[in-house]
Amino acid sequence: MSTATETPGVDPVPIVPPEVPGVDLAAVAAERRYRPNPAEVQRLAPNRDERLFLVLSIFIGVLSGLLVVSFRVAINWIQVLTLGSSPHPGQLRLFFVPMGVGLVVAALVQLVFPAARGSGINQTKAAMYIYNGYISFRTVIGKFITSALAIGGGFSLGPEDPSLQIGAGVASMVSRRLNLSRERLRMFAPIGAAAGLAAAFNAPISAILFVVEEVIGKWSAAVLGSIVLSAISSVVVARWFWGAEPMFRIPSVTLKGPQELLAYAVLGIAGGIAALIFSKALGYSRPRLRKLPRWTWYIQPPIAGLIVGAIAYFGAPQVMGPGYNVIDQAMHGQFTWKFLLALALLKIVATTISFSSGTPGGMFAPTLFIGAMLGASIGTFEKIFFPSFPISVGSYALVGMGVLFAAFLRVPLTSVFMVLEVSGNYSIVLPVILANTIAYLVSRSLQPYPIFETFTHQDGLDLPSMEEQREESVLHLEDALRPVDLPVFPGTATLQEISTQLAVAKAVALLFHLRDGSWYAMSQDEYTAIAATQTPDTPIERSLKPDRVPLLFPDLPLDSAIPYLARWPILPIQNRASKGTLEGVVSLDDVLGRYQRR
Amino acid sequence: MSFFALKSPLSPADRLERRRLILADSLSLVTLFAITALLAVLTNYLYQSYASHQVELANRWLQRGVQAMKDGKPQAAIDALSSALAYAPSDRSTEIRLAEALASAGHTQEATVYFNALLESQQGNGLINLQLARLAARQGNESQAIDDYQKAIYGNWEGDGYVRRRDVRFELTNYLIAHNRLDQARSELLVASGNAPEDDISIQLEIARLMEQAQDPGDALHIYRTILHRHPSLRDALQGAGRTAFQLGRYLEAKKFLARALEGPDIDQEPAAEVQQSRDSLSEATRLLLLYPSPRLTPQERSARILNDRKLAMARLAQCMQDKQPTPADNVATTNSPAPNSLPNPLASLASHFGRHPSEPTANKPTAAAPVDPLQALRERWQELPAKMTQADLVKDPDLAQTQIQLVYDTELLTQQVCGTPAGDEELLLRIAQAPNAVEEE
Repeated sequence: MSTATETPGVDPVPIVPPEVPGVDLAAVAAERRYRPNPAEVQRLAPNRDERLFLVLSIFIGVLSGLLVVSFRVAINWIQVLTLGSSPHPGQLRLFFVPMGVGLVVAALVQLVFPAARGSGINQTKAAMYIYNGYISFRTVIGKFITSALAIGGGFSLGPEDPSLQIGAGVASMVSRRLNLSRERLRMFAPIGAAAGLAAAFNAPISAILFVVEEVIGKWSAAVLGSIVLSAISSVVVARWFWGAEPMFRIPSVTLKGPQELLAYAVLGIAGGIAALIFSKALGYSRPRLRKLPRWTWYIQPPIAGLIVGAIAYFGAPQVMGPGYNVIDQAMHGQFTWKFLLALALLKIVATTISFSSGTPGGMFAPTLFIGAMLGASIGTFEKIFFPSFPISVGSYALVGMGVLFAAFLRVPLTSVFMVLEVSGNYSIVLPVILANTIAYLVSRSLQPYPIFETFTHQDGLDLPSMEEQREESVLHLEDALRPVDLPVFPGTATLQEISTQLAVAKAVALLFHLRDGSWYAMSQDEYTAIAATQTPDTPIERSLKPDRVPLLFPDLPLDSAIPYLARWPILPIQNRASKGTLEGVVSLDDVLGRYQRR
Repeated sequence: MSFFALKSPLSPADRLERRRLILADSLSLVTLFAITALLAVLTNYLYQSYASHQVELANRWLQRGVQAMKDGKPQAAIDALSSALAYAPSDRSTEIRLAEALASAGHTQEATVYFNALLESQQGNGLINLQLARLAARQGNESQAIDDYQKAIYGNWEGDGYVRRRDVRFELTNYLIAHNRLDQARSELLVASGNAPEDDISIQLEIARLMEQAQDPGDALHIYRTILHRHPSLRDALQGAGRTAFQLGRYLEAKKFLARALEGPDIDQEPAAEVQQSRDSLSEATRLLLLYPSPRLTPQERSARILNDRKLAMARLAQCMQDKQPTPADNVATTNSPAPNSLPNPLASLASHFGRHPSEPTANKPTAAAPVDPLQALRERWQELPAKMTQADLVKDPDLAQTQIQLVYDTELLTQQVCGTPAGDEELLLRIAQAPNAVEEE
């Protein structure tokens, strides 16, 4: 796991615990005092938590879905009321509204909702890994209000990450009300996060995968069922309002030859480079703006709003807000390739400024926007200059979205399913997988740390790296296995026969293969004790204790042996195909030694 | 509903505690349910308020966009229609309007890309293909334009598909005519004619008019005749029939149609230029028929006309030969010239043409392959005929009459090519010479 000081190009920011985004420590303490004795609850009703867990997952999904729908509607209302129903270059309000909104948002964040700052992803992770799943009600409300104001007021930010945190906050509040165990409370954060993200994207599979890839970091059967339940519940609610139509519609993609994949590969490389530029810009500007004197935190969002407003006023209002309608326009080929490229670059600038200024709002929508513009730009360019390529601009924009998602957020699996879900078009899967993989690899080779990990370091937190966690190799018993270098006797062997052989070959432990095919392992001390009490012609199997060594195979995880090594001095590892045939043995020293060599 | 296992042995106090726990959990769940229901109502209210506002905004911007297009302000229409689409993203008609606005505003490339993107989701849409055809035509991409027009014709159309396809076919035909692809235009018009209902006079007239433009007066005349069969006094059809019959050299038929077209008290209400043109054509046809030695005439009358035409032709030949009298320099050039085939002299080819003429006398035919002056050859043919010819001679000798009239026609044709188109009666005689058998064809 890396730390802030190890992150190249990132200036560490001093840790100030009460200001850790997303967490109100005073409220945490108050909450802990209020909590009744979970051990007592567990004694009175042992299965209560488990059963409530599933029911509450559905409630969390429904509540998150409703809140996210309200959140999106609030953003739309604010957008219409502040920027007008048809923002176009040259409208003076575009110049001044983001600045005014920035002033209000800055005041709210600094004075009322300090935990609402940031995107919401790392705050949710922090809640799960550091604060036992705690997210305060005030944080949820603050996130809702400030993000809706900022995004609706034209800041180049998206609603998905705040939705994720709102979902996680709802989960936290609901689970606290029911006095669940600490372990359960911690697991509710990703459940709510999945629900919030699923409703925001109208894409349950992507939300589940994102939470697994980015928040939990590994597949956990214990929580997966609840995550699925909550995500589906929230999507059902969202679709009740928005409808079941996919977010973007493009025609079926039919690959007419391998040369088309080459074109998508070019998009993958371009996406990887764009993600690098975006990451570097954020990684550079965010810590520098945060290091400025505290009074500047009040004016950073208004200045950011002024810059975004200027971009909009002088020609590109498309960069304001999440920009989903602009993505749709790009997919329908409404822009020239030069303008699309310009929009991608301007969006990087606008988002970097908006986000680095500490204005609450997410990175998902801008990432999709940049990717879509880049993809559509390359698609339009190829269509004009290589007319022999049967290119669909829509599919390029869609693949571009996935490409940047994979390269910038570094969630390759989620990026593939996100594209499939938001388009409802599975014919595009091959180009998406190819382009996303290339973009991901390019990004990884050029930028060692994913963006959320960089933010974590900048915030002075030490959360687990999901990328490292995902790629951590699991050790197996075969990794600690050693050949059978100790005496092995049949169960019918007498004590005299055994003693005779032991006199020749010294061993710390003995193995016995019994007539029923099972094995028994014995330490030298145990044998000595038996030999002292039995006659020499006694078969050893008569003197054994009733338990037997467990059946273990080489492919099992290494840690699966540890519980048994308290009882047995050595564990025989058998062949799965022919039981009774030994592959080798492991002792506690072997296991620990293997871990230490890692 | 119970969430708790009841197997564990508990003391009475524990049971009481557990009941309190069940009650507390139940209350929490009921509260949660109530909060959920309340939030659902609030969310629904918020959503409905925005949804209705969204519909209102979409309509408002759509109307503004449509109005802007009507007012000839495509750039304003683009802004308005883009806004309309932001509030009603799945409205196909608005998308097509936006693409049209882009095209009208001169954003040809954007419009093409936009229409292509629309086409991807609506393969075979006639309107989109039509717009793409227009854009390709505007960009000068002829083959692409024709291809897209064809796709539009055979594409899907909402509403009255037949009418839309027919209009597109007419548009394609006009495009083909404008680009001098007359064969393709005629093919399209034949299909249009086959599909057009016989009782739709305006369409039939339009097809006939386009056929005239596509230089297919024969089929145009056929359509005009069909129309006149149903509406004998329809002036447009009479004028068209007269005009096309005139073009085909069917002067007798043209005269009849044009005379009928110019009848009636309301002729003054017609466009003056058209009326004057019809009058001129009628006058020409009448005069031409007076020159024509029709086989229907009595031998005396016919002979008289042949003699008259002979006089005109001889005068024309004499004038032409005088105009083309070679200068001394020309003679030198002719003497020194190499093989006749290598000369770019049009007279040489005309000479060979007359050499193959069936009516040409075989006597005294030059045997050498030396260059021949076609006018001289023609003159020689004239010299082979009697210098003086009377009406009685011609009546007596129909072969001579036929030879004479053929020589008149050949003279008119050759002198027209050597000396240009004549005027007056000579011009009319030339027209007869071009298709003598068609003059009285009906």
